[in-house]
Amino acid sequence: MRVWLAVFRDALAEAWDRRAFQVLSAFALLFTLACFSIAFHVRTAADVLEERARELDQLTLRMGSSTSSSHGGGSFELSAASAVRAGDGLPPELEGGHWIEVRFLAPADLDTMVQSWQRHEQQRAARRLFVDEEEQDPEPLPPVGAPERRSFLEQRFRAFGYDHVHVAEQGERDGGPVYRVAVRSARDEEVEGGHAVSLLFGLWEFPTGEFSAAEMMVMFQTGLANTFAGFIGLLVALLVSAGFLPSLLQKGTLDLMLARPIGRSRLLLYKYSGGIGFVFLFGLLLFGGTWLAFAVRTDFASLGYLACILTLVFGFAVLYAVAVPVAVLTRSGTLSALAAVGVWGAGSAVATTRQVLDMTVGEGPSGLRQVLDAVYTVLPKVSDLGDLNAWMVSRGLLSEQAWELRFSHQVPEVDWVFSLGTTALFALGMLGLGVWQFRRRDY
Amino acid sequence: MDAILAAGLRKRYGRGARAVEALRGVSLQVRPGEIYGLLGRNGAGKTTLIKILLDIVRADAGEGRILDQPSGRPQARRPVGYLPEDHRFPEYQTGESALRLHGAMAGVASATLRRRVPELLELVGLTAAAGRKVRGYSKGMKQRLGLAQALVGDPRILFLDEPTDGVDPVGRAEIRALLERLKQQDRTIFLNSHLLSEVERVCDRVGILEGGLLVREGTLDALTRAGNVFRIETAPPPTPELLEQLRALVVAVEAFPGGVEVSVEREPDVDRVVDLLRARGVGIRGLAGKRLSLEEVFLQTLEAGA
Repeated sequence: MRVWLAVFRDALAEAWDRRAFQVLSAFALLFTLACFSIAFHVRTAADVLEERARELDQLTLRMGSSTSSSHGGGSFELSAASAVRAGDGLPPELEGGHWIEVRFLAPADLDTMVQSWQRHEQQRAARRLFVDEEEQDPEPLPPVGAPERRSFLEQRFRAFGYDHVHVAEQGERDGGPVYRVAVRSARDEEVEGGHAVSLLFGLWEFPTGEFSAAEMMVMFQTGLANTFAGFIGLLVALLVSAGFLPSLLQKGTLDLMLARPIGRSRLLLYKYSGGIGFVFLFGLLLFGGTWLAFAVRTDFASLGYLACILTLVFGFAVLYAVAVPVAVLTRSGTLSALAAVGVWGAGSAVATTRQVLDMTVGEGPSGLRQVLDAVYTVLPKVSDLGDLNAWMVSRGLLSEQAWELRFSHQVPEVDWVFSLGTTALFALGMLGLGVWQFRRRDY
Repeated sequence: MDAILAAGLRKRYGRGARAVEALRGVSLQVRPGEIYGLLGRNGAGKTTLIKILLDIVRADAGEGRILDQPSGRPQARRPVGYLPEDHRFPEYQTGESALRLHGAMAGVASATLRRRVPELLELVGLTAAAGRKVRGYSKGMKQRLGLAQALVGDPRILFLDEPTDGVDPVGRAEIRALLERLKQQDRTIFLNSHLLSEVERVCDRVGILEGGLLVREGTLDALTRAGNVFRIETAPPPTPELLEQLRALVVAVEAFPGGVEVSVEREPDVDRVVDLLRARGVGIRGLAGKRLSLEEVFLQTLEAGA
């Protein structure tokens, strides 16, 4: 352990000397400050309810990075939202909530919206299963009756993020059915548009719109984890640390180290783990700092976000393992970095090609598909770590209900055992190759 | 038990026509507490021999042992300090951090290291530069730091490859004094050096490596003895007639101002030379067996091998 600590300290000194640590720490600090400038302000519940109710017929289908909206096609009028009072005859769990009256201009308007909603739900299920909606014959919709109409309104308002929804038919007014919808949310941060988000210490403020504050936070955190840390941070860390091993392997330096009573495998793995330790510290600074900023300023403090440190370190460890045999064979930092980044790019390209094939030609030509599958199996699946981050962050920030209703369909289903297992095996294989070469060579 | 043992070491670099045979079956032993000097021209295989003994290079055949442990085992290097030729400390390290790293790798306890690092820096005259990055060190400073790192593990055996390379004459004298002090502490030193005068001053035994073979080996006394050649200082100097008479007794005779140098077949023959000189009324002021310098021995050995 003492030897490892000494080598680790040496790796940090090298990172410090190359200014890598300062640059990444400065970025981490900058992002922490930026996150510290974010705040959410709760909007008036009645305003939010009126705004949401106006979007009753706006059906938004979100799937990963793509969003599509459709219009339910109905026409309706709204009353002003009012606070629920004790004498309103509503269930006790709605106390503290608000209600609003919706008058549909004609019964057919409501039924059109109900059917649009049912169709929308079918599409959501189909896209979750990657079924081509156009080729799939749509299932016949059930006839619309009173229960379907109530159910539609209840589900629609639940989808806005309200935990408790009570729908009561109020008869007809001017030929159109009237419904009173009472809502209350135990978690205001999960109500669509329930907050205004303020950036840069209030310099820029806007309502969260079709997103809840919690969803907004999921987007902030996954953006940081996947774009800044998982892409830019990882790339910079790879470019910088790829030189660590070649610096050890320089003639004259290696002689000093190899004469010490340490086996070659240990020496190489210690140096490798020094690079990983450097990235762990960077992750700790970035995720720890921004997590703290979010926790202090927005009350969102989920361990799922902190767990992204592990995916960052894992992703780095896998790609850095590629640099090991290249460094041992060539003693070149540039070639080691290129190899690591190249494998990363190749893995992502193959994964994307498979997805495109899935979406365009289904199973595709079998020969090409088999080759792609084989290459995909062998290469590290670092891009899957972004999905893992999204899953961890969203599960940590959203309630079970909100996650199922609004987010589960955005995170692709990944066989984690296969993905992480084969990726780890690839890294172990690369490390093994590097160690084997290092053990057998003369210096 | 030998401190260092090399038995039939062979090493070939490269393959086919471009292969170079660096060692062609080298065997030697170094006893504990001995300073052993290995001489040889560039490319003779000196560094390869040390590297094999430290498992930095793998031998094709033969065996190396350090304190009876096979040299391939990491434990065998625990009692060893090594100063490589052309060593290079990473430039981001400071003198102090380099010694701390190498001390930890040598298995020195932290508390001991806290005490030993400043001591060693002082010993090699780098206390003032301890916190400076190595990139700002002169060649001599780097060499002295290298010596300090070789000593940081308090080794019983030291392998020094050109330890005075790049060091000024004052520094060289200091290093020589240090080697003598280490010898008094009963440490074993294996010294590779081009500076024959340096080897001559500190080594107990010397080996000469040529073309991958250990062509000559022995104590300094044995190697520098010039056969049965004696230098006799006389007063007065022998006359030409006397020199003629001497020639009948010896293999060769040569006059020099103040005496004669005679080469005899057997050592006792020199007594007959002394008797003749005395009988002719020539006084003996000094008599000594003639010694060669190590440089002469080295050059003669290389010429003989050529």
